[in-house]
Amino acid sequence: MDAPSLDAEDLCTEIERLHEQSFAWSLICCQGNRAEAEDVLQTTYLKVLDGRARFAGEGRLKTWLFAVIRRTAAGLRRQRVLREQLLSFAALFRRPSPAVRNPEEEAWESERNQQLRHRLSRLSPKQRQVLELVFFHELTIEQAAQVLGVALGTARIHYQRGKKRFAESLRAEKEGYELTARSG
Amino acid sequence: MSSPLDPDDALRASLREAHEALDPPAPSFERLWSRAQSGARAGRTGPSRPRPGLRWALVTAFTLALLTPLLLPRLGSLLPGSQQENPTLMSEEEALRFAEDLSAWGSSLEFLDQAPGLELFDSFPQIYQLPRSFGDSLTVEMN
Repeated sequence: MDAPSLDAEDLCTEIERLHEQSFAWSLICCQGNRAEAEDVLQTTYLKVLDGRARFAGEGRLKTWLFAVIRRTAAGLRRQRVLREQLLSFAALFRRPSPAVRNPEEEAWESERNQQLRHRLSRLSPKQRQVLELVFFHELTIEQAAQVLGVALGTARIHYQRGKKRFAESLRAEKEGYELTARSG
Repeated sequence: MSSPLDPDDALRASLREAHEALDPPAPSFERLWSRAQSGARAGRTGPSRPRPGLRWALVTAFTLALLTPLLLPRLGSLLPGSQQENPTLMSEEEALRFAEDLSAWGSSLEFLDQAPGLELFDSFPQIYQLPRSFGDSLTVEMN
């Protein structure tokens, strides 16, 4: 929405409309950590409510909201890293607990999902973020640069390199399929 | 018009598929919004962050702990009454007596400085006032 000014009710409605996409973007910013993504989104809403994040009416609301989410995620990540460093000494004396996976997690790790994960893992975090913003969230490269807080040229470089790498991984997968089909 | 092999379309489809397959379901908006609202009412800054007041108090305490050893000696000299307690300061009479003692002091090896001819350095030489004997001989020669 490009409205120059929004009252609190309109803002809430717009944010609610963008909630699913905001959560998807928050997940990307938190490297897939669901609990952290939830924390980030809640803190973002809190910033909107207490006025620390204010939409000035310039540009799209979605661009602004995504930028707030990215900054919030970066702030929480810094705090988490600091906390982990402080606790790492204590962790030396703790016995590691065996990883327990629930059936839902097992289901996610199907072969296809592993492929998808592998394909995305070949991208650097910035490349992934630019491609997500452009191809999944339908922003322009300029808007993606605003969300990420980088120069337009930098965003373009991430975009081009990310696309190239993604195409390479798709091609490699395709060749793998053909090879399997021929041998089968 | 884009073909099915258009890399942009493939990328778009792949990302959509990845989100559908890998993303956990989003939490309900109402739950997060109401939590944020109650946090805003309580003046909290986030789910796991300390209050700003507490943060500033911690920063101030840390800064004071760092600066106290540096500032304490300077502050001590500024306090009233600290000058009387300072052992390096003395009264005027004491200072005069101390100066007299200092000027009367002589080294035990002072005699080593008493070299012959040292008196020449104690007075300024007077031009045109040569020793009498030297002046007489000069007069004789001129005549």
